[in-house]
Amino acid sequence: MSLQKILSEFQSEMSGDLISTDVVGMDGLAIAGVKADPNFDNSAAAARFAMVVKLSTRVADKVKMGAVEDNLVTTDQAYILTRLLGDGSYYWGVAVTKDATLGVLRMLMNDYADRLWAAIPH
Amino acid sequence: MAIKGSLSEMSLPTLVQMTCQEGTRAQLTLHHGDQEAVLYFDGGNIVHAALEDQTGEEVVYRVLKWQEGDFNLQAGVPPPDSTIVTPWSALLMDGLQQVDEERWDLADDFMKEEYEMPENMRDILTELGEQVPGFIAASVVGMDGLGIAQHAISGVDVEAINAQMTLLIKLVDTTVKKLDSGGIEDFLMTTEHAYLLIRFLEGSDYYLGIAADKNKVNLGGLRLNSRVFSGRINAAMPR
Repeated sequence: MSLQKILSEFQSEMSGDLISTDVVGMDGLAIAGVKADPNFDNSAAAARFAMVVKLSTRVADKVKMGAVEDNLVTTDQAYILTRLLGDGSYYWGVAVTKDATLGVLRMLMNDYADRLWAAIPH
Repeated sequence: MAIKGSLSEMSLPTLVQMTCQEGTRAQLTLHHGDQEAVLYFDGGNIVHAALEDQTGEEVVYRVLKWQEGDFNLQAGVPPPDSTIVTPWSALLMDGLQQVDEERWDLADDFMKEEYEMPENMRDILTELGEQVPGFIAASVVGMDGLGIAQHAISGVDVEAINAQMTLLIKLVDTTVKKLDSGGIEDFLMTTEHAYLLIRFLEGSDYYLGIAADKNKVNLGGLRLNSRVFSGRINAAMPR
């Protein structure tokens, strides 16, 4: 199944709470994505969060608590979760509204992460 | 299976948190003097509560004031009704705030003066450490990366964590502002072994950072504790 189809399937499971989701390379460029909120700049988000993911990888190394798995930002408007895929050469970013259930989001991301990694052409 | 005990030994907030986090269906019967209240849990929340002829959230708020009495937690009992939809964490925070406000109203001037003296931040962090299973470290840190109070288990380089996490939270803050995605409430980094959670202290340039063993701590409980303790730390901050 293609990355795009897997992300669309993920969108349907988030039942209207999704703002945007992208699979992004460490160069900050998205290779697949679904944008539900037209006002959200997912290209800028992909590029900027690539920097956050890279820095968090270095921070995790410095604080000696094992490799970073994911980062969750909670704002007054949204949850933004970034999760490293496979060998860490790509990350998966998801932005959802605060109406989303955080536990469900984390559970679904656990379920989908391996499928997304397997669908990335290597 | 039933668990029985005294509310003076195990407080009601602890009982609620434990039962909700386990997600089991259960009936909690509470006795306080000649009063009897019953709370029902299902799917990780309180779904029904009854006391005398009253039902719903107000009952939870009433029983949270009970510091003495007995409890009997019976697993597997289905709820007879559904009168509560508010998540348990919000219910608990609202209820405990009501308890605090009521105690404040009842306190005399001498007690209020004593209460207004700021708590020692390190004592608060020590208490936080006792509340969080798998606790590793907690710090109150400025945006210059320097901690003003900290508590940690031995062998942890808290200063390094403070400095590194401040670098990261600054970048996250800039990122979120540039994307116009609202103000940051908290930031959580999950690593192989730990959760590192940052919560900004309201109206200041400081944050509360907590690190805990991922395999021992419950994430919902960690976030709840960070909310509760950040309020206390904020009140104790020198101005």
